Amino acid sequence: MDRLVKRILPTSIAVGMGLLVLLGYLLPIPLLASVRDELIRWAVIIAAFAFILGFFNLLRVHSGRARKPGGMYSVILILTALISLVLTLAALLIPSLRFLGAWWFRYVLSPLQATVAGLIAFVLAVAAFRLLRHRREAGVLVFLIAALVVLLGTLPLPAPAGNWLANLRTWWMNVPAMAGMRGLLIGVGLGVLLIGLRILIGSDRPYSD
Amino acid sequence: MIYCPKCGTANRQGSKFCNECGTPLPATGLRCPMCGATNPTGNLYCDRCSARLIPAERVPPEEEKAERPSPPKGISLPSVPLGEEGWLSELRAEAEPLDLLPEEEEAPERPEGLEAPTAPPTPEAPSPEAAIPDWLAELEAPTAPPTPEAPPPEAAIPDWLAELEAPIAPVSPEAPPPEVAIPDWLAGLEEAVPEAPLPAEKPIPPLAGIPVPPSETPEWLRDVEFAPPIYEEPSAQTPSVAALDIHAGVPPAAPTTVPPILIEEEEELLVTTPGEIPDWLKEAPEEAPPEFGGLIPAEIPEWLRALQPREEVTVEEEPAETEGFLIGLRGLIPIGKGLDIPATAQPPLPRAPSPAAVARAELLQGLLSRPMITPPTAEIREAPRQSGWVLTRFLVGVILLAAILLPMLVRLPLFGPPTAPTAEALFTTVNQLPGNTPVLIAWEYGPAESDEMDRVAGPLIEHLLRREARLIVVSTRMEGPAAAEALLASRLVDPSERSQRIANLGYLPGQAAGVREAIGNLGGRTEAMTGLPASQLEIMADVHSIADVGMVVILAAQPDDLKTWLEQISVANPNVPVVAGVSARVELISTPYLTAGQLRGMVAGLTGGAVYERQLDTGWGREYEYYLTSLGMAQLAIAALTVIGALIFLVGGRKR
Repeated sequence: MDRLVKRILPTSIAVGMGLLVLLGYLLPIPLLASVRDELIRWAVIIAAFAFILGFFNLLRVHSGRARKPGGMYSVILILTALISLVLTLAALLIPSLRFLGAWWFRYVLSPLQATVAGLIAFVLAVAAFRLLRHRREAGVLVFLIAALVVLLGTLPLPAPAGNWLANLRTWWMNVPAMAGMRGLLIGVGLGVLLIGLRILIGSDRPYSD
Repeated sequence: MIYCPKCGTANRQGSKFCNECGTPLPATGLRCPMCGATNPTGNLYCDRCSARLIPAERVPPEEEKAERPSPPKGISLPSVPLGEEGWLSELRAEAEPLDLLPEEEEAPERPEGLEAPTAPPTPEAPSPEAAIPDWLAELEAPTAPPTPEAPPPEAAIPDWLAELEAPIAPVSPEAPPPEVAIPDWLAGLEEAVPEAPLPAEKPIPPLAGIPVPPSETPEWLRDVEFAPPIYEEPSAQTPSVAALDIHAGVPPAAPTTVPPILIEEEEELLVTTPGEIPDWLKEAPEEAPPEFGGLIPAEIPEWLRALQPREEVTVEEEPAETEGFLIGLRGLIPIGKGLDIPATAQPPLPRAPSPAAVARAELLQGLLSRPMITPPTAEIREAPRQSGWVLTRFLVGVILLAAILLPMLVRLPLFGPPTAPTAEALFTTVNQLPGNTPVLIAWEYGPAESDEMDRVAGPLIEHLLRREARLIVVSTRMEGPAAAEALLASRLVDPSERSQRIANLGYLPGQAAGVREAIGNLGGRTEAMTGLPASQLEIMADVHSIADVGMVVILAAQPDDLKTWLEQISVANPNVPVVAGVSARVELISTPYLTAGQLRGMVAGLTGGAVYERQLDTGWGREYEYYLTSLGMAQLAIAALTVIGALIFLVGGRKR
């Protein structure tokens, strides 16, 4: 019974639904297309409920951490999450309070996220400065040269150095970097195809166990 | 039972090896002199060849004894191949005057003195004078004369014994054998034999309540005490009479110890009436195999076995219930073997550690035995490294801040006008868009990327608004609708026109499934700002799905968002034109889609936005100039820091 509930039933549902959606794309049958669209709609609803569950799980985990030493940040997280929830619900239910949501987003969330994102530049600068501190391999030197070329080549430097660097940067981006990127994209595409087939045949079961 | 000569363990009859120590056991039973087969004790004839196992007893005359061949080399003491005709016949000769007990009925009713030795009569037990050969009898004569008070009457001798004993003169101390019967070489050895017999060395305490009547013991035997039945290896100095092989004719060794069985026999003969010799006495010497190392195993009588102490069998008592309504009852739950094992039991260690383990242990012991050496300069070196690291980060931060803030203070004409061919192509595409065209905008960035992406999306959105396009906004990121609303509000000239120009359909959960569902059912969604159904919005009147959209704009700060939208749109409606405004980090991954035609145009990064802004000429040029200058200065600073750091660490050496 346990095996039926935990493995056989989820696998059967996943394989069946996946085949229906796939056939809906492959075969020009209106019935299959409607079934496909309905199944996709179900998936969106389930994903929305998953977000709600994730929200409450976040509150549960950090409510436990808030009681431990160093739980100040968990307390802040819980408070801000609850404030965001209340303001969003208020904006949805009371039209006159929608400005509160916009204010919260513009003056709280946006500066905080921008600040955290801005630290990336500082961290990258420090890492670039210490690039050869621990490793002096050929790959590191190539990476260093490429980073310098892209950094300087992006800048609209005055000619003739600017033009030379811009052309070098364009060549670099279109030939070696593009070759690597195309390889990555092809690999990702094949990987997605393989994972989809494995899930369809039940070899991979990320939904059970 | 066969007793092991090494450990004394009793083994089953017929065993060849000891069950305890594995020592080969001597064969018991009667070996056939003709075919060599071993027969059970008690057989008179061989089971294989029907030869007689117990030879007809005949005592050779004294002349024959003297003419017997000398013992083989290697036996130091003189011996006479008496066999049964020798020492046993002498015993019988002495027992002739006695009234022998009946074989079966009288045996349990022995006199107390003979019942004293409870141990089984072992063949090693020394025998008194009766087992002593003639030449030794002479030596014992002055010290231990035979009992004169029990002369056997002639009438009590059975017929069969009378025939055998007829040619033999009874042995008595008064009639020692003539000197001529002893060879010369033996005479010298006889003198070397100690006068005092050995059996008196280890006295046997008589059993309680069974005293030996001293009056029935001969004079020479009174000093001799019972010796415990000890299995001893026969030595040259103390050969045992048990080494006699009466059946195989092997010359026996001279006895220096008297077997207890014979002592018992002697006393029995002395205290009881003479008669026939009991069977247990007859068989005692016969059961001694020649391979037994001088020991003759004997059968323990049943009445003696009954007296043998038995091992106590301890019965484990089952525990009683200590609680519940079954309290006090026993045997409810059987005792499991596993309960006897303590919970902390450890598996047995190997008997000997491997050499590798020994080497490791020695190495560890050596390391532990070393005095702990703390480098005194460790903390001193750690402090400058930490301070240097803090200083490095501080300098990097200061340089970056100076590079970013300097363009705000001073206008630096360091950089020329930016160039972005893809942005120019996008501008052309949007510029050709018909008026009032519904444009689906995938708003895939949030506040974290809004500083860059707003400069990318701003000119494009304004251009679309200028082209009087109807903007339908959706996002798979939760903060996407809010970020879109903030930018749209800033670019919309007349906020009252929002409902006619913009429809923010909000967040799409489910990633790719959400995208697929949204582009297939745009009319079924709800406007995020007003809460109205999309079907009731004026700008959505003729828009139900992706097929009704004139253009799709993807504003993506992450590569995955761009791929997701491109994949779903290319399946749902591959004919709809798709353009993108992406961050600088997505530019590289979006280039293949651009070259493949899936993207009709693209504006990437701050540079692309500046180019688009310059073409659109929206009046935001000064802001873009500042951003571009700050970005350029920051890039220059990072490039300089990278080069300086590389030089420092190349020259100064690698740090570990």
